[in-house]
Formats: sequence, C-alpha cells, structure tokens
Amino acid sequence: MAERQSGSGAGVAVATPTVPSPSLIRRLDQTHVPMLLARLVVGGVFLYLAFQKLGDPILFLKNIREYHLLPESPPIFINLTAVALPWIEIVCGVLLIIGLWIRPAALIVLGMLLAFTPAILFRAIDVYTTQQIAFCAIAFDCGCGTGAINICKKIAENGSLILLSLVGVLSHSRRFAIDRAP
Amino acid sequence: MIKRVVLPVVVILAVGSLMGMGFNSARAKNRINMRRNYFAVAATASPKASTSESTDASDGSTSSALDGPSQESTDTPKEGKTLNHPFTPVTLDEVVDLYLSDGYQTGDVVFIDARSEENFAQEHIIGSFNIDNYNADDMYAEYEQYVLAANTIVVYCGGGDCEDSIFLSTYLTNRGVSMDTIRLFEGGMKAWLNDNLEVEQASP
Repeated sequence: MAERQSGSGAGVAVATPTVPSPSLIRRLDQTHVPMLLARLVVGGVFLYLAFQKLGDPILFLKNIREYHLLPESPPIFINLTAVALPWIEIVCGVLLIIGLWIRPAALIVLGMLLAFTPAILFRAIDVYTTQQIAFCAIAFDCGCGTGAINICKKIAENGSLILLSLVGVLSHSRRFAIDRAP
Repeated sequence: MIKRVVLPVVVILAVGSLMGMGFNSARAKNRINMRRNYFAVAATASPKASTSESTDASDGSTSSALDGPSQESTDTPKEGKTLNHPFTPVTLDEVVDLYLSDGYQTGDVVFIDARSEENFAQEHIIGSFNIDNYNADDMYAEYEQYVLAANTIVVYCGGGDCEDSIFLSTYLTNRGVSMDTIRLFEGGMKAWLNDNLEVEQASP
C-alpha cells in the first residue's frame, strides 16, 4: 500500500490498488502487442473508410456540410476538406501499417477522431431533440464512409479508435516497424 | 519534437492534400470544383427567406436580390427542416397542370431534375432534363439553349429535406436564367410518386 507525505507534513495513506502502476503499462507496452494492434486496426480501418469516401466525393461533401463545422463561403475550405481528407486518411493508414512516422500519423488520426466524434454526437443529440426517438435508435450517414449507421455503435467504435490512436501516439514500441526510433 | 512530430505532420497533411487535389482533377465524373459553392442560395428580399447573403464563387458574383414569392407550397413534405429560398414554389397540382400544358410540348415549359444521374435513371418525370447540381458545370451546357428559351422552368429534386433543387436554381440564376421563370417544386419526386403519376426510366 502506497503512503505519501502531504504538504503539511501529516502522513496520509492513499490507497491506489485499482490504478495500474506505470511499470505495468510499460511492461504491457514492451510486449509490443498494444502498439501492433493499434497500428493494424487504426491503419486498416482508416484505409477502408477512406476508399469508401473516395467512391462518392459528392456524398462526402454533403455529409461534411451537415456538421456545419466549416464555412460554406468561401467554398475552398469545405471543398478542400472533401477532396483532401480521404487521401490524408490513406497516407496515415499506410504509414501506421508499415510503421513509418507512427507518432505523427497517429496524432493526425487522433485529431480527426477528436474533431468528428463530438460533431457526430451533437448531430445525434440534435436529431434526438427534434425527432423524439430513442437515442440508440438514431442512425444516419455520418460521412464516415460506412453509409447510414447506428450512432451509439459509431460512437463506441470511435471511442475504441481514439484509445488505439492514443496508444499509437504514446507507445515507444517499434516492433515490425520501419521507423525504429520511438 | 519539431523535427520528429511537427514536420512529419505538416508533410503528411501536404502530401495528402496534393494527392487529393491531383486525384480530383483527374476524375472524369463527380469532380469537385474547388471554387464553386455547391450550397449557395440566391439572396432574397422576402422576409420569409434566409437573411444570409450567399455567393456562387464559380463566377464570383453575388446572387441578385429579387422579390420573393409570398405563397407557400401546400404539399411540401418537410422533415424538420425549413427550406428558405427566394424562388416561386409550386404545388403538385400546379406542376401537373404545367406537365399537361401545351407549353411542355413546345418547349415553353421545361422540367429540370436536379438529382444525380443514378437517381434520374431510376425514375424521373417524363421529358425532364437531368442537371445534377453537383455536376452542373458538365451537364448544363447540353440543355442551356432549351433552358434559356423557356418561359417556365420547373426545378425539382427528391423532395423532403432535399435542397438540391434550390442550389441548382441558384446556379441557373448565376448562368443568366431569370429568377422569375423558375418554379421550385419542393415536393419533388416524393410528391410525384406519392400521387402515382407517370414516370420514365433512363440508362445512366
């Protein structure tokens, strides 16, 4: 049981048995499994979704507009996002799978997930308040490349991808990677 | 930090963007025109319409503000979204009258389907032209002479929340079509099909 000294000098026992110690996380990281899993899953999912989006860029453009995250005028921002985002996802997906520039690629993927997941959530809340249907019954095309999807499922999926992207950003493991330096 | 993270991030974003623009330019179909505002709605002086000014950046011109219609379409199957626009809405009955009029045979009245080629091929109002709002730059030229010669242009899309007919109508006004000639059939294909009116198919 850990025991710490408080600032005032009084001894305070702080029980932290449920929080894994840093050494445990480090030991887990040294197995290389979390990083490998993160690279393959996040890279594979992003590659798949990017190719789905490339199939219908106009639909993707319309879906981006639905989030109202970008101004419609001047149109360059929303149009460039629709054109570039799937290719940025492809580049990130390939880099993660081959193990090159892992941390930057994972950082970009994490940034996209952190931008779009709340946006999906807010759009779902909007649907929930206007159409009065059960939250987990809401389904719409989130522009993610999967077509119409159940939003609870999508948010759970994105939550998992955020965790795995964090592994990609924080892990020092470079097993089966071209880039050997962490 | 800068060399190992920031620089690669910038390179990835730049390479991805350049690849995207290159691939987009090479597309024969569904190419996105980077300068065009696909969601522009012509401005209006009508108090019922949107107050925000919008422009069609493809030619950089601000849409002209004209007096909008005061009447409301009675058979508009709206689904939680208000369609604000300056165009004259027409009801299903009015559209049927125009469809059956002599003008539709002579070219004085034209119908424009603003949906995608795939949707148009599936079913459309007989005799209508297909100008997909998102491929209008490529498709408009084929029908331009008929559109400019017509005195009444009925524009429709899928109905419901579909706004593509509004965006295409704005595109037409920016191509010199008088706003007074445009009639917006908000009910669209949904209303047309709900009334079991005749449609035709076309190969895409």
